[in-house]
Amino acid sequence: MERFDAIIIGGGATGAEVTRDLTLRGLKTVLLERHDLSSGTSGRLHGLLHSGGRYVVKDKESARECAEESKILLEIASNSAHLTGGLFVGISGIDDPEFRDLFLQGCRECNVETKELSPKEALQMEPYLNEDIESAFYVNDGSVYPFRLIVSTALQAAQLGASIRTYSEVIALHKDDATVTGVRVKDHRKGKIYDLYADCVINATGVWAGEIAKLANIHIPITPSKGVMVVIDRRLFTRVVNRLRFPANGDIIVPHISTAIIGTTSVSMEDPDQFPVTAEEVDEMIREGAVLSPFVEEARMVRAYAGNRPLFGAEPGEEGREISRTFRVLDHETRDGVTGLITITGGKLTTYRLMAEKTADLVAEKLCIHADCVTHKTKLPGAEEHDLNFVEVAKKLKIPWLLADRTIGRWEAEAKTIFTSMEKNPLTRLTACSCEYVSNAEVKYTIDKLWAYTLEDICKRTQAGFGICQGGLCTLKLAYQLFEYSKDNEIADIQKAIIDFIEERWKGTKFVLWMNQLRQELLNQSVFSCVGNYDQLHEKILKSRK
Amino acid sequence: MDIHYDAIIIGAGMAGLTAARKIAEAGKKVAVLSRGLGTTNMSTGAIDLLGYAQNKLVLNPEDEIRNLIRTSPKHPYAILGNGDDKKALEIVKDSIKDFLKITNMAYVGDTAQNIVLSNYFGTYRPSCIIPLTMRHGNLLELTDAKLMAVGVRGYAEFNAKFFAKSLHYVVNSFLRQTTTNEVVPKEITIPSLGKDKDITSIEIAEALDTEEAFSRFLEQLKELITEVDVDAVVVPAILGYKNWVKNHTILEKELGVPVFECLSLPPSVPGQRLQQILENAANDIGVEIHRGLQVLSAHIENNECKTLETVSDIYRQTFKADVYVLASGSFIAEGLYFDGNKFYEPVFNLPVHRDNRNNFSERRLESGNHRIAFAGIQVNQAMKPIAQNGDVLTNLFAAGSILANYDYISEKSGLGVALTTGYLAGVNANNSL
Repeated sequence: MERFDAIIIGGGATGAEVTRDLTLRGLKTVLLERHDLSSGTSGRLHGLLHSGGRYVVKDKESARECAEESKILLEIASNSAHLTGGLFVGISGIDDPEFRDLFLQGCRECNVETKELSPKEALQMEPYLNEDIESAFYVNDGSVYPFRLIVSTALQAAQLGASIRTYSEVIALHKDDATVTGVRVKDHRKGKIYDLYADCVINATGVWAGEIAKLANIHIPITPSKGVMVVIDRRLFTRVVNRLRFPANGDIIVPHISTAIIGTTSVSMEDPDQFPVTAEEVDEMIREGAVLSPFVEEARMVRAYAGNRPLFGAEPGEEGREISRTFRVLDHETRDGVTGLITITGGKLTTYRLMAEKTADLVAEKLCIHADCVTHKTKLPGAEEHDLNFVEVAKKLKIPWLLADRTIGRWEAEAKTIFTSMEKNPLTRLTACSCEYVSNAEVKYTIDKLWAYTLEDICKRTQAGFGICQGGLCTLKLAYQLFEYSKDNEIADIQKAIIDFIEERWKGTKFVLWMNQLRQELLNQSVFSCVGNYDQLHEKILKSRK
Repeated sequence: MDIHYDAIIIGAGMAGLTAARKIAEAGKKVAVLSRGLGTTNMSTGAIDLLGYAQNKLVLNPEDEIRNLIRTSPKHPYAILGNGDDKKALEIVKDSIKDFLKITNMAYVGDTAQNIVLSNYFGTYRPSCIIPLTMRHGNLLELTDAKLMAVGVRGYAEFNAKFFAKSLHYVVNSFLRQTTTNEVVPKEITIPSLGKDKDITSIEIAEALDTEEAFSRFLEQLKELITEVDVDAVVVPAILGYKNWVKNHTILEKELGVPVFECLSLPPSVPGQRLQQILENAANDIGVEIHRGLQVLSAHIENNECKTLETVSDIYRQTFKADVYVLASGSFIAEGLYFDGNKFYEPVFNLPVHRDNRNNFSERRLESGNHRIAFAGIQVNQAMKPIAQNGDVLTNLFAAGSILANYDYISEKSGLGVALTTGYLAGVNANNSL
């Protein structure tokens, strides 16, 4: 019988961080995720590291949390969180000029650092901005690459002894009277079912928290709130740019490496598993994005996607109060009379560490463990100081300098592991994805160390296939790596992985197929169907796997 | 100053260059205006006539083209014969005979028989008129064969180990007409291209055009073939740009077993060779190929095209001819556009025909359901496009992937439609002069 101190359900930012936190406090933990790490809401957002500015007018509690937490993240997760700086700009004749004073006052109240800029200064900082600026502020916004943040978090927990199990779905909770004692797990990769037991089960499944709670006959009021994002082919801005107005659809553009993401919407959904993107929403993002920068209309739309935020509804007796967008730690012992189960939900990516800290505090209290939280001062793997220099690395390994530069940019200190493997095995120096400059060694690293089992898993960790070609030219090269390095894959599994990946990428590209991206898609179809014949063979291959 | 031609062709791919050749062969003065390199460059180099019909593998394209003409009267193959399947097949055969002539025996194939080729994905697909270097790669004729798959160190596009395992699995599981005994993966190096760095098929093909690199290549293969007893050797599509036929002949002779290239991803060496064959044949009979020219618009009077306005990086230029052939390709080649709201053909503003269903289907790999593949311009039986007002332009013909009503992706018919319609458009355009 496998026993742990704590079982954490949900491999998003919060679940991974709760695992790291508890492991750092000395607990024996296991993290269970039914898909891949960060495959839920944590991987379906625009990747903004909130300075708090967005919330200073309507949600001061969240604003304060964001202001503090974003500073901590820049310290502990410097490999995936970057201080780009951010602007709030009000557009003449469109944005309500009165919002300016509310914003300034809110920033003061919530300790969100800001500096007013003249329209001329703002345009000097961001030349592609709409020129009709009425007022502008600088804030300490940044960008986060959630996949690597979460993988690094899980990696640290694993290095300290945590067990990270992806594609492992909790299908039942074991209960002994009113105490949750463990979980029943379905391992989707191996197709087997087994049981785990622990003193405490933490439900960190975000927008799906209600479904896990239901297994213990507990009701949690969560309203999924869908947000749609559109990725464009150019960075456009150096900094995050927000509209200076009350939060509304399409009010932000977040730059990420060589792309930018326009976000977002907020639509209440019934089912946490449903987050469709509609053509109207894509149009709206482009239209609103074009208010921030007229150059949005010239850009090539690379893909569109959506995620469901977990908005925590009113608890009984709370009706009528303004519900904050902040998070909730639910102690089901006091709330529902069920011991051994704690739920953490709500919140936002920027505050995931704080959410985990509060959850872990409660777990420690319940298990009578006297250990303080240290996550705020424990750097993630890769975030430690290093002296890697891409010119020297490129020279030494005889690889293109851009490949060295991008690898360091993605993994910082952890890039050493990748370069060491290049030294040992020269063939891993070859390039797997030439849009994003990802080497075979980097792909191998994600397979060996970071729980990458599918092509999509590899791409989320490395950004391979996320460039302009959206996998058209690198799918096969990535499949070769999965074939060479993943341990328990048969050739039929690799063929299935190729087909799955082709369909997975399609989920985001199919919304933006016009002009150049349409050409790209038809070229990709030529590769997959005219060369690979997958349009005719995919059913046969998938069927033979069942 | 305007230059006057007998015929101007827009587009330098398979369709455009075939049409240009047919007109120039009759002694006419012909210019080809091309914006890019020609999409044939991006092809596999194998000419598919019809690979699938009703999602079934086609073994005899002639038979299935006949069926297709009956069931889809708007399909370009049906238009070839104006509904008459005999006449259509005659044109198919004539155009292929004509093509084979210009390849100087470097292509082979029979319109009554598809062959099934392997590719870098380690899967199979049918094709029909193929480069000599692929002739012995017909999986239908390699029943129970033991193959050796040879990769090149540093050439990351092709992984021999993956290819070997996958082809064995896919052929034996799903291609019921044949079986494969075993595929043995091996690796060789091209010393002149350096070690442990990325090399491309272009670099390898250029290297193998030199005697020194090719002899090193041959030596290594010879050594490998003594290690394992195999029935045939499969290599990636890399056997050279100039000397590919010669190299292939030497390989087969020296190794004593059939050797074949498999189909590769774009930009493929065989695709580039095919483009070169078409361009050389056109050049040889005096066709002028103008590159880097975008045709902006056509000047039309009384349903007759008078001139074309073009622009290059440096200047604008007007071209004038008696007859025009529009072979500017589909969306990839920018012969057609879709801007998110409307479809358009940019030069003549021809109506883009399409049905009202969604451009793409829910799943990406859904054969025949991406309706955008069927979008294009409609032509009458003379290969003349039908304009917005329902009339035809008296001196305009169209050919190739700009045509509506067929799905080259799921049918596997791209270069076949381009060749046959380009041929007919060329013949008709010439007859109209």
